Amino acid sequence: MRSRKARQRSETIGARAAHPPAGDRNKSGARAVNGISITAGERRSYSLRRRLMGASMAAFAVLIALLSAGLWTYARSSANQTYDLLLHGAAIAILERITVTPDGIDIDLPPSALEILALDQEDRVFYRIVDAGGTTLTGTPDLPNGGFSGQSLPRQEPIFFDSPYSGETVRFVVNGRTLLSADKPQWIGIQIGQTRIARNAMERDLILKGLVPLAALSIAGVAMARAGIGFAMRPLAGIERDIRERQPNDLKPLDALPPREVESLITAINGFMRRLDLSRGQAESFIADVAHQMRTSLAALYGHLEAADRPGEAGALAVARARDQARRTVRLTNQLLSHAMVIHRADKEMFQAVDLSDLVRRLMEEIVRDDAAGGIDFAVELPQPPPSATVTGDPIAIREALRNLVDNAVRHGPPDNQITLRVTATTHGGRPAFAIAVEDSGPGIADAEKLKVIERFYSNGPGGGSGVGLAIVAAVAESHKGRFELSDRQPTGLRASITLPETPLPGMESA
Amino acid sequence: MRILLVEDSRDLSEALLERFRGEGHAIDLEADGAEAEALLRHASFDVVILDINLPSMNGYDVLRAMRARGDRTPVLVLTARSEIDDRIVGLDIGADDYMVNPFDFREISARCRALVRRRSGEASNVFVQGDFEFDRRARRASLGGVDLELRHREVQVLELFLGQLGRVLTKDEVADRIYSFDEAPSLNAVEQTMTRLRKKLDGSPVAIRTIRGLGYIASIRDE
Repeated sequence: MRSRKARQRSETIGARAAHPPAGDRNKSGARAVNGISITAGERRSYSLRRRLMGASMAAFAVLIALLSAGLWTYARSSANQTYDLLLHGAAIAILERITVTPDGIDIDLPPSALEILALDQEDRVFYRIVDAGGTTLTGTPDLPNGGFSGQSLPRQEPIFFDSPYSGETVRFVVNGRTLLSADKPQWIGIQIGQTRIARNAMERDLILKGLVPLAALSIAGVAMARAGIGFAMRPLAGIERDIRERQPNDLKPLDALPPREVESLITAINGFMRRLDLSRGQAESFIADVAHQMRTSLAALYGHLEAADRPGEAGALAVARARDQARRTVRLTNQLLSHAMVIHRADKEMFQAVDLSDLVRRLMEEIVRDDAAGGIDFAVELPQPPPSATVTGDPIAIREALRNLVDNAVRHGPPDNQITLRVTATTHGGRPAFAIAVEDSGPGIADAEKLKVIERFYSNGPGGGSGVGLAIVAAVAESHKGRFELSDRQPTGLRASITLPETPLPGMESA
Repeated sequence: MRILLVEDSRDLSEALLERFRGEGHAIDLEADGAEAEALLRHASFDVVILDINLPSMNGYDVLRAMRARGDRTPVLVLTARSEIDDRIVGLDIGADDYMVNPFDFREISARCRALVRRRSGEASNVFVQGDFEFDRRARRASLGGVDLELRHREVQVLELFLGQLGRVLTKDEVADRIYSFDEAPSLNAVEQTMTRLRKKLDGSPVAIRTIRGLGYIASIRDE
């Protein structure tokens, strides 16, 4: 009946977490539901692949920009060179047909000269012939005289320049020739202008023909970089697959042969898995132990209750035994939970400054309150003169440890027990520490047993407890990087001493 | 005693109800935090046994609300061991005592009696426990009707300890409380006073224990 009810409860936790009805609720379940924390808005992770691709694409872009600039310069200058040659050829052809006659200068414009320039249908051609003084002899008189003005004449070499004319950019050439006439040499110049349409077309064509292979090269480069990155990352994906496909309880080390760059990462993961495996092993054995202890304890309780039906003395005795067994079960449960709590808190390292005098004082109040008979003689010895006996530690864990030591002293000692709590300054591993000793006048523990009693569920003597108490103390000593030891007290009794360094780790002074 | 039990686990509350009723106390049960809070606004109890994990309003909020409106009814908090952090918080926000679940049933009724006693001692001028009586105003104590003939200092010490039941008081603290600035406080004199007082209280339910090296704790022996 009981167990079915419990199962029903736990099955309905989810539904009731939102709207729990009164009086029937699984507390640990409710806590667990509350305990699930959903971390919204988690930190954005970056992609290694994307970073590498980004970097290589940026490099490609810079490279292509540089190449394009070079290509553009090259296309422009070679288009100019080609058409300048034509322009110059036309100028020479015209100049050659200019002759000096007795009547003056005879200009015979050869049609071929201008035909050369009319290769492109769209382009327009302008010309004029000037004398040394800059006066237009024939042709269009208002052409811009950008390159040649009166003073720079006479000139044999051609000059080229761009200048806006009639609403367009026009390429001009100016060339001259000295004519030998009868009386004196005479300079004659020709200026020919041609619009840039054909040139620009050729320039564009050149740029385009250069850009196509460049683009193809870039695409191939990016694709190869992508493939290369993918190839380099493949071992990581393999490791990821290995981890993802594992069973939750498979904690074997990763057997991937990692690249050097991630070798330490893999070593760290393997180390972590080893620790996880170890701690899981400990947890499993702890749970198995706990299950065994609880089952035994509850079975005994059940047995006593079964016997309680019997009439008379036997029944009364069974009830008394059942009560006793129930009390032991409660104590065992509390001790186990305390042990689990101490371990849990050790993981979280809830360290703060702990005033030991204050802690001992509060502990004594609690112990005296629980010591109903009042026959025990308690004594406390604090360091004199009282400096602050302060350690960095978990006050709740330390308190649990001391409480267990005193409980043990009470349980195993005689009714007129003398229990002394002594706090002394000492050193542990070369660092300042405080030792808290609990001494009793009980029977003590034989040397052969001293190590065993610290183990979980080992209990000795007639007043044997749950067997968890000293394991708790040992766990607290360990989590504080301290020490726990048992020794004999003279003439009789046990001294249980837990030594806590003032600071568990160097560099945690201000914790 | 009139007790309010605020506990939502039916198994536990039935057992507690049976136990307290068997001892002859009037005990009411409330399983919901908010309803308990509403009830506490109108009815008064000698002691409240308060679970922490409650539907609709947790035990701390109930306690906080009580203390905020000046309700000083003694509160005994029931917590689970995993909430041991919280129980410190519980005492900080005004719980008078706590018990870790699972607990011993005899223990819980003893704790309740102690809480009620402590509070009644504060409320009236006369502290009564069994056949022991201490009249603060008349400054005299009697056991079974017989005056204990306490001296002035002994009355002061007794008054001090009855106000601090279950608390450690160091010898220095005792000296500070019973000597004025003009008088030279002597720890020896405190010890003598304590010895005499203890001898006079012999046989009464009030016990003052010595914790050597630390001080004194007064407690009330049950029955």
